[in-house]
Amino acid sequence: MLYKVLKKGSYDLFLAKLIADFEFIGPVKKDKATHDFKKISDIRKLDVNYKRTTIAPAKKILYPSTETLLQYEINEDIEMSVDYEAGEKILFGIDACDVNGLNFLDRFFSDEMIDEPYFSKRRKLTVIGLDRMPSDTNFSLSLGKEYAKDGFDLFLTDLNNRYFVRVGSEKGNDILTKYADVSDAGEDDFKDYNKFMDTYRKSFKLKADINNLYDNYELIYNNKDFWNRVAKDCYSCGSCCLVCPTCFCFNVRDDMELNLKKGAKTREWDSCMIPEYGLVAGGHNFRPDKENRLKQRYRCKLKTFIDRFGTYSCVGCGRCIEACLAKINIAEDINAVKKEVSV
Amino acid sequence: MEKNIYIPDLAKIIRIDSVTANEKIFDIAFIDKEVQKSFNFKPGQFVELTVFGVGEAPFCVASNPRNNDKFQLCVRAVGSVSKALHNLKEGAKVGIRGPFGKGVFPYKEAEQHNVLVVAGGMGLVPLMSFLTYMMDLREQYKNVMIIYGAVNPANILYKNEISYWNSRDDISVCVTVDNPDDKWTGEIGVCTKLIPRVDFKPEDTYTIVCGPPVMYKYVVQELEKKNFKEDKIFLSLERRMECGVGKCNHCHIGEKLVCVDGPVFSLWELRNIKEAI
Amino acid sequence: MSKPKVGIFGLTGCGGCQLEILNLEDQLLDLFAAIDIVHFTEAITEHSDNYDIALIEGSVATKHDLERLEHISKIAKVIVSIGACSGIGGVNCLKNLYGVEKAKELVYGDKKEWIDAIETKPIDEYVKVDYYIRGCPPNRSEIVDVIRSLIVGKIPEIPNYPVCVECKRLGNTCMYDLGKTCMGVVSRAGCGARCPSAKSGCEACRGFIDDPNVNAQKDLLAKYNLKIEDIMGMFNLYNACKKTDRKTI
Repeated sequence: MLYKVLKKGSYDLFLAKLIADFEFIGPVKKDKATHDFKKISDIRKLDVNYKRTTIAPAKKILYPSTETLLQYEINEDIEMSVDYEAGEKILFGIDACDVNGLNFLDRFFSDEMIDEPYFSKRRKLTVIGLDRMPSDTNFSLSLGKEYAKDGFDLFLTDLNNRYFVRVGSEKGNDILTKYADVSDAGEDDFKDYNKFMDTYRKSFKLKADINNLYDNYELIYNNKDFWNRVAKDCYSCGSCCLVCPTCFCFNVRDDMELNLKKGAKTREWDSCMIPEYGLVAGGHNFRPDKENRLKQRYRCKLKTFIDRFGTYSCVGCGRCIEACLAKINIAEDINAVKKEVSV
Repeated sequence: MEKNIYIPDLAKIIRIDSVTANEKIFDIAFIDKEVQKSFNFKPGQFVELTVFGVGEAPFCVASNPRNNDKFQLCVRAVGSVSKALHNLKEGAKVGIRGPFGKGVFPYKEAEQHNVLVVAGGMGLVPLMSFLTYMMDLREQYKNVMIIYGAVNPANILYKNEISYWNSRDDISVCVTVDNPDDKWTGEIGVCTKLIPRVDFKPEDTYTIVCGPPVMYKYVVQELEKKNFKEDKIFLSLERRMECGVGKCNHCHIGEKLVCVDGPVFSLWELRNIKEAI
Repeated sequence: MSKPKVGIFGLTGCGGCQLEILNLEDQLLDLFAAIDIVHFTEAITEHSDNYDIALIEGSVATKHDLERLEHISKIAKVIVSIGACSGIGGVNCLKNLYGVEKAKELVYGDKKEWIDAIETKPIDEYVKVDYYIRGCPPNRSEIVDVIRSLIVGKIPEIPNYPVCVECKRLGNTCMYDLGKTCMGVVSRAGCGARCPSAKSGCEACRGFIDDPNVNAQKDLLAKYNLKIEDIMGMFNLYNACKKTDRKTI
């Protein structure tokens, strides 16, 4: 890792140059309540000072909500073709836990077999992260996801009069050298960076005591009362999954045009909270109740990938908490498991 | 570049055989001969079959893995894809991805052991790849017993194969039906009923089970009464599988994915997974 | 494969669903190439009683509707309900809240005897419906999807998940975050979250999902200080028709 310092005064110019030369995606105010990651062509549209997490996670750039997997044309023979959109892009302004979300998806979509639709875009994406104070529902600190060790090309931390820059890749270094006026970080810069990180870590309001959850979950698993309580107001609407930066489930549909010549296979985001998710041909549903589905979602977020990758798949960004109309709160439920087992 | 996991290879239906009112056997071969030659599957593995314009669905390969000039699927018309497949004619083209699944029937481990096979209904289909393979190499295995339960005599699959097995004296076959007709002279009732009759030594026996989800609990209970070993009992699971390659996640049970880690699991593995059986 | 013969019929309703079929415009030629339309109440004068598939819009609100529906159901092998009136009763069912006699009096005064109105019901109260194209108005792409599915022998994929799914896929801000109320969380999707995308709360024109969490929704709406009448109004606008085996409120 290289450590650099970017002067506050040259920050705007740096971004303006990137916006001019690249397809640049960053947080934009959507309406009074939300921000969204969008293509930016005017630096004044960029707004990194959002209080809540952005509405849709940055994963949508690499893994869009609907995406064509392949097209086909039926004539004498059946011709198949793929066309995954893959231009060079810069993703700017995502915070540490969202970078960790991308890291998870990178790992997931390359595990065992490479997901080409995802990686055709990932290879051409430059990630420039930016530290920001946690939102009220962010509990990434409790999961150890508040800091991104890698997965970015550059990561900026605002130290009031300058930016502390962590350079995570050669691509990042090239961009920095070409577009910005930077100097090597010195002792004082590290000192201030530490101060920032301490303050940042102290600012997390929502905390989850995840210690022992891996084992406790087995005990709580068959506790019907507990799950009835936790899932009572669940609408099975799937919002929690659909706003999650690490949820990866999808459906595939095959649609043909009315002329029955051309068609396409498309994938679209799915959610394990929707009853149809567990349905097999013949009509048997393996997870018919909302209690089972919520239990399953929590397990996937907090346990499954401890076994598979040695990490939680939840990064604690808090989007699902904000999106839930039933006020189901994963952090509070983690604490509730602990309480249930301890008392 | 690595092969795109979502693009199927084109294959042709070369023969269709109606076996029951609702089930057909399809002989399929890849159009590209090189693809067909390199299509080496293991007993228990499945493929994803595309009927263009309708969709894709998983089917376990039912033919002998030692035969690589074509392969066979046996399909019941229950969903969109299987119904559309039933409407296709010989010569029609479909898309095939696979074979998929690391969890296969223990055809190697079971060598030099007794083998008990318990099949319920359509569960006989995935087992056919294992059974035909085992018959080819019969001398590698000790005693072999097949228990097969069907709803009624008309629903019995692979009648020719069953009578061939019956004609051999080195395999014992018990077929039972829930609803017999006037002509039925065989066993009556669910297949679990026949398990108590098995006299294989538990520590020397591999048991392989495949059938509808409701069957497993009861079969396992019977096997445990006989002290069969959990790590020598194998079950093939059915779940919704859209991608077959561990990405869409519909088939997950606990920490495992049926499409990648299965579809065949040992009972020992399943014991440690919630919701499995 | 011979082209399936299709009849398109309208019972009591605004006729908008049939209009949506005509609005397919650039796909109309392909549609006519794929199916044989032998009856189309709103578009063609010729009429034939020889059809395999019947697309029926409108609810059963008069005795005459019921006679026509029974006639159609004797001929058609496949019945497709199109639109809210036909599928769930729709706004026509608001009449039932007054009672048929009272409603007739309110609207037609002393001429009420001229009207053969009966309690309004969706068509599946009388005949078995094979597929539903939902919504007010229905989604054009879904009309095409269902017809194409019938041609290729596929079970049409009609969503049974709530509108929230489509809002989230589109990246819409939640109506509740904008201080508005919305029925989307208990209502069937497939519309592409049309109303929320235009910053207007969902009104459940496609009916409710199979297992809606009604209590949670009532609590939620109550939190927004809505009166019980207003809440019932939101639930009733398209879904006032009570049916024993359909989940209504």
